[in-house]
Amino acid sequence: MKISMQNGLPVVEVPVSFQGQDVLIPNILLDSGCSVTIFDTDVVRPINLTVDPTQGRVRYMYGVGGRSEICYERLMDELSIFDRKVCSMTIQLGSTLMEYGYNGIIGVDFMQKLGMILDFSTMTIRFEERPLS
Amino acid sequence: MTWNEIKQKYVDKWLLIEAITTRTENGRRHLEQMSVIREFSESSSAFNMYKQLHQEQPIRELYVFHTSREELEVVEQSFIGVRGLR
Repeated sequence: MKISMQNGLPVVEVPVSFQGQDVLIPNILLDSGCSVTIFDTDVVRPINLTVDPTQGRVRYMYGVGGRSEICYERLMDELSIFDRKVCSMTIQLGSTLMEYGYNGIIGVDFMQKLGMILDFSTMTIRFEERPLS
Repeated sequence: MTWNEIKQKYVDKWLLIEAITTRTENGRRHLEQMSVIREFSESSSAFNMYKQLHQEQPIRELYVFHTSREELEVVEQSFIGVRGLR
């Protein structure tokens, strides 16, 4: 997996599979300063990954200058990302494209779960081969 | 309106709502009074309008909810945001 630098930040293309449907999402930010992983609601809609109407917490995030935004948590029984299956992970769905210019953000939760190795000398992502907990 | 009143009036709908009065307790945000901006049958249309309004007026506290939700579970979190070179 190739990392490209855009505006001084690492960006990748991420294959995501959900319930037998696949989508390749470009323009995803790798952010080791972000604890959670979020996708824009528009980019995962093609694989029917949407906000659950009946449940899931909503996060009201407030920041500098009185700006706030909301995102929706969804517990995933099973999701495949970078062709690796993860179970029982919570992802967030929200507005990242208009807000930040990215289709999503891979945060520390998935980096850790997937055993991701970000290699800035070769500008690639590798994965720890040992079985992950 | 309160969520209970909204739920009864709009059945099986996605709503774009604006929080009018809120209260925060132990990191949980309670939406006490809300106004309904518009109702939708599809979540995608509701989120599209949310994104557009939020972009234009980021200070407004907007939410998208489906009226099949019994309660609104909103947690509050401070957020620094993405800091690129733009």
